[in-house]
Amino acid sequence: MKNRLRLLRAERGWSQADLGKRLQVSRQTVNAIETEKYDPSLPLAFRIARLFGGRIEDIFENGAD
Amino acid sequence: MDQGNPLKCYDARFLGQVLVLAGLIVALSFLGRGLERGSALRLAVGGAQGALIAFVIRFTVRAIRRLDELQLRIHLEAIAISFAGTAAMGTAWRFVERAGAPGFDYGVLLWPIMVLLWAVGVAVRRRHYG
Repeated sequence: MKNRLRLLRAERGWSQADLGKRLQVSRQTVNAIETEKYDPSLPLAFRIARLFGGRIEDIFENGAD
Repeated sequence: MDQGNPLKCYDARFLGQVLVLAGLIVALSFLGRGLERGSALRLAVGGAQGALIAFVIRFTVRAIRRLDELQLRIHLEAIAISFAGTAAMGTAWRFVERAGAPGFDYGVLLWPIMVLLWAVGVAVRRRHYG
């Protein structure tokens, strides 16, 4: 699944570890989502969307569409 | 468990708990050897070893459940690899034994092999997710 997480994080000047702390996940999880090796669960996707003040579909894009 | 770092499954507290339990299991093994086979005391020692293994499993499951979702996935995939690998190695060894290879008690090596394959599985899957 494509996403804009790296861009949104960079806009705020956060490191992967900073974002991981805010989302209560590991830095590796943030990296795996950013590199599109791992698709987050729905609860985590909602947490990400809430943190960046948007909707899930503003951040994640289903590549199959 | 360090809540600030969900990547750390095996923190010092968890390792300490498991090492103490493992030490007790080994100590009970030596104690049991000196007792008469079939005696109530020896059976009680065997039961106590089983109970300690149950505690090891409980601590391990509790540690894994505290991980974040990707780490949890990595560990569950590694456990699947370990489970299948241990079973496959046991079956393969039985075939070799039947063909004439020297027999040995595979049960003694079961846990170390499972833990080793689990660790290998975690390393391989972590590499996959970057």
